[in-house]
Amino acid sequence: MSTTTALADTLSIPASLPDTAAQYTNGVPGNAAVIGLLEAAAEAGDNAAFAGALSCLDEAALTAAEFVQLIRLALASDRGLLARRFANQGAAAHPQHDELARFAVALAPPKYVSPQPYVNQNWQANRVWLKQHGSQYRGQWVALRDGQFFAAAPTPKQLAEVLGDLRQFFIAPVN
Amino acid sequence: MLLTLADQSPFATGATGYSYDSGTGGGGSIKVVLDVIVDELPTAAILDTGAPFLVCSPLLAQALQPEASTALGATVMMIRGYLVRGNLHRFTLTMLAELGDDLTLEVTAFVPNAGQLAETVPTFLGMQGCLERMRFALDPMSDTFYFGPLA
Repeated sequence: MSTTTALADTLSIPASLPDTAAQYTNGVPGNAAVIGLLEAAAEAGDNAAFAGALSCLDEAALTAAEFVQLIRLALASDRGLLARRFANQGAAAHPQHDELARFAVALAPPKYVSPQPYVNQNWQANRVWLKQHGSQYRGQWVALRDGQFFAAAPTPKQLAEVLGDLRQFFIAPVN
Repeated sequence: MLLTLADQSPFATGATGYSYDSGTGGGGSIKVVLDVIVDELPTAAILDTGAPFLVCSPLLAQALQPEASTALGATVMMIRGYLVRGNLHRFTLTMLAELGDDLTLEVTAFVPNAGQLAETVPTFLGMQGCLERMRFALDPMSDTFYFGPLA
């Protein structure tokens, strides 16, 4: 039994993984092999296997490309906090790497900013209009401003074709 | 009236009414819909604390048309059980107050690539990267959404 298969068995992952024994040193799996197991666990939806493989990762030895790979894997498998952790660690470990720096910015917690000027709408009037007239446009998207109806269309794309610049309107689906 | 903590410091600094979305035809489970502004574009968004980020609807993506150069990372995300290709951005999100003060944050936004999501998929306000640094509370008795900064 190869080391890869043994580790896969331990982690309850189907043993159909490619044998990446060349990536092992003294029986310890390299990060490339562990990332392969993480991908397999994520695809199988096996959270226990994912956690097990994660604990095998040598985070201090991760390359910038591997950090990016792990961030993408975490996002694709609905593990947003893990993606943020890898982005922060990766950006700190590889400060010259542009892609990691951008992921770290993208995944940072929200920040308060000064309110920006925007189209001043009467939101209450829009909501009242939807309550009173929305049923006439069920299944469509409507464009309103200050409680006034401007257009309705079955799809957002068609609505944009009719109105052009949508920033002037309140846009909502009617269900 | 806005909410206060036991020491009378404010819990919420703004409040607004919300509506419900029960899916096309009204047969689905109810979802809370808030009026918000995303990068100056007024729109409606569904509160979804089980999702990450501000996930832009195809309409919002089309209306905002963020430049590719401002994208912070191309990625694939799991949305409603589907893998969706798109880009991460930082957008401003303004919670509109009918009572009290508006609240504006810079949040993580996921903008799906064209054709990746059905056009009827709405915009979602998720927890991570979006609502996580905001106090909020719902009063279903009056359909009021209270919000405020953490500090």
